[in-house]
Amino acid sequence: MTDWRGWFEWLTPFYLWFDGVLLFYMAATLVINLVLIIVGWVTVNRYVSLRPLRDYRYVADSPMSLPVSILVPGYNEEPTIVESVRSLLHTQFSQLEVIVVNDGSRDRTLEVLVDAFGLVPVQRVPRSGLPTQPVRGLFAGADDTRVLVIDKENGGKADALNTALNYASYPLVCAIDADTLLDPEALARLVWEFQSHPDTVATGGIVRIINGSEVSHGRITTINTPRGLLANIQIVEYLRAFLGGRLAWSRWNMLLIISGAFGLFRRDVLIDAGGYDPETITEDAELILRIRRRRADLGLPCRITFFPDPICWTEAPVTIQQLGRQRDRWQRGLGETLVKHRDMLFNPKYGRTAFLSLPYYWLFEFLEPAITVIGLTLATIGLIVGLVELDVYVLILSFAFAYGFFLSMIVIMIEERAFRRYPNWRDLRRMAWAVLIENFGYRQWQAVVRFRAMFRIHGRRQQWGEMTRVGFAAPAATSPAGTPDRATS
Amino acid sequence: MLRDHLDLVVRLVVVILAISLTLMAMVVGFKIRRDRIERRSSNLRSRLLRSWQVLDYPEILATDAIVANGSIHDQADFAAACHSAENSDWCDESTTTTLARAAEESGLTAALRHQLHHRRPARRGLAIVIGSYPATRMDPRQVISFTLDKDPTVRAATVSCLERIATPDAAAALIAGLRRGTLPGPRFVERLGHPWAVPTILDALDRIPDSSDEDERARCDLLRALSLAKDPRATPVALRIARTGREEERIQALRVLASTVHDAEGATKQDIEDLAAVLAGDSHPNIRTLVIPVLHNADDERSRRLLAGLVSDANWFVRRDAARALATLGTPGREHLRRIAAGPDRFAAERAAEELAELAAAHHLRASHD
Repeated sequence: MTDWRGWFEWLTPFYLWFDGVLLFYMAATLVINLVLIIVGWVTVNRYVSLRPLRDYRYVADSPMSLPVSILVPGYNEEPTIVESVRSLLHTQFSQLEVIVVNDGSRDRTLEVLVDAFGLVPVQRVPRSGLPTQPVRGLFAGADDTRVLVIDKENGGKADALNTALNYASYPLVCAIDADTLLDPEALARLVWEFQSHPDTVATGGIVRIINGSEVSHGRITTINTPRGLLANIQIVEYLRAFLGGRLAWSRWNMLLIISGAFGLFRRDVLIDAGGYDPETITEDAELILRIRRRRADLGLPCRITFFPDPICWTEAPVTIQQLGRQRDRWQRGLGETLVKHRDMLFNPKYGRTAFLSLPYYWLFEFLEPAITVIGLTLATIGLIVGLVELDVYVLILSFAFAYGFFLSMIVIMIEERAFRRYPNWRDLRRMAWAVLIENFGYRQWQAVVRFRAMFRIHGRRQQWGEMTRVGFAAPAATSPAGTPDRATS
Repeated sequence: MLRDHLDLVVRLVVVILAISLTLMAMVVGFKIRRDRIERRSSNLRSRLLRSWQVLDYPEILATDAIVANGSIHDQADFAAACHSAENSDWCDESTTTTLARAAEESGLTAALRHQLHHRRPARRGLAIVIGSYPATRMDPRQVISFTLDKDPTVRAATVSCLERIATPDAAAALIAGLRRGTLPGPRFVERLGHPWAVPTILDALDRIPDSSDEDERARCDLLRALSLAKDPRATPVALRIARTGREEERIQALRVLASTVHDAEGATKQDIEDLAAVLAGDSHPNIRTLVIPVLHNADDERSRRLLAGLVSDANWFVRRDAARALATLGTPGREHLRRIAAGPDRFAAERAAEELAELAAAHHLRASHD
């Protein structure tokens, strides 16, 4: 009987080429991400050694510190908005205002804010003219004038941010998600960065997952990892993304993303760049590229950094459906942004960003799920029909496993070295278990989700999406967290 | 052949397992080490504070020696302990004298002086920070050059150190750094904004000429520092500059007057209020804005009339601030606002009406809570 595998022998040259390309791609991914992590390690070590010299309390209290407008876009945030705003008002920073935008909510977001903060109707003149949906009313605290609430027609998150930007009084603006809590010193740490490096136009902090932690009156009282495996996997992913990738890109001033959940910007630079784009899905990623483009066009310095110490805490999705939607959205947003600014790629006008970080994001962030899914599928087919050797197949799988495991362990070491937010052995056990298990199904599932998302990239006006919030005291149901880099894996 | 493949697979799996276990062991080892460092840090801080509180001299010598040769962690702990001691009631002059003597005897002071020239910025910075505390006080002239350090964190630590030293020499060093521009001006201004720096600032204002843009910026920064200090000794100079200086200097001088008018008395208070009355008609909107707090403080009929006039100002911010000032001047102020709200000037009437509406809403809210 004829061996049926012989029918596929004509594909042998293709598979030989394919094996080589796939292995080369995986080796390149490993080397590049190793370099990023090593640079991240060195950067964080340097930061940790200099940390005792930084007097953040002074920055928080000094009347000469740059004041900050905190912009909080909100849609159907009734369960969490009051606690969020209280947490912001208790931030250790003396000169701030909190501008909450109620973006046409269908629940009682506005009402709970008015009751909780004693808001009264006021008149204010916008300081800039970014186009937005109509504003229905403005409310300010009768006693605490730091709070301004803007009620407007629904227009999406970017539109809400632009509205807040129009009414912001201060030279620095901090955009945060309505479902996040800031560490008390977070703002002071970011403002320090602006004050010590005056050419900084934007800086972002790290987003961490609050699931499992205890919160009281808008402050985190105990930090724990959650019990659920999915949330722990996301904790490790976020650490990989922030401590692995962003530290290095920031060190080289080639950062392309500041998380929408927590970023501090110069207001004049934001306005000059046109504010947030309501037509993109992930306004945070697109904004940074647009700022870089604009500053390069004007020949002005553009220092954009990531700072690993100031922390914002956010709820992570705990169901696979919500997580899938979130990752789908991030992948589509990334693709949209890269396509929109594709003319920056290899364009000398945009410096190292055009030749290093943009190609990286194209090849190793955006296209990675396609290469993973297609590569594994073809490799499996090749194994079945005898065109791929078993040892090569196993080599590919074990390479992927080892590389992900290796990088995750290193970022856990970085976290332990620099921040120790999870000091308990139980937390280390949970994270280590998550690092192990994510290789058996989770990463493959995520690759498929993101691969499918690549076929749905099109210009579509941004929507909030349906969310169910339960508040900080209980385990989170769902939330669109800020957009980290896709975790390097 | 299959056996060869399986053999290779098994080897690969073993290698991966070995790498994974090695990494896990590294992480665990790392955590154990970090736990140890944390415990050591906590113990050291406790030892330091305990020995300082009871003035256990042998223990102070021993811990100082640890710090002199210690790691960045040890020195950071020492700096943190110094900060805690500085803010406590048991740390008095005899304590700091004893600690300074021990620092000298143990070699800590000498080690810190040597460390000022370390190649690592963290070490240089820690030497500067620790040297700024009374227990290990350094001469400000030793640290002034570090306002030029190549690392911005060390430069920032240096100005912080000079502020803590808080002597005329330290103020002079800060002013010198300000003029060199090694950090943004506000970083020096905030450190100079204290009463202990006022005589040195006034002296510098006398000496800095008014000839170039850099000099004008320096003078403005120094005036800004005087406004933070809120010291009446600055009032005469501020009055003079507010009358005769360049535009930006006059603005800063008005800030000084706005900050000192609350404590001014007699002829000085009258001079400030008279000047504010004249400047209420100045061509620069920032100047008109800055006289508002002075007029508000005066709270007499003349100042209320002037504030009412400013509610009709061409500049929105002047109108807003003037209306707000009137709103907080009790019934006479609100009477002025009502008259403006009913008057012919549309913009002024709108501003006054908005202010009254906000007042009414706030009053209603408080009443409903009561």
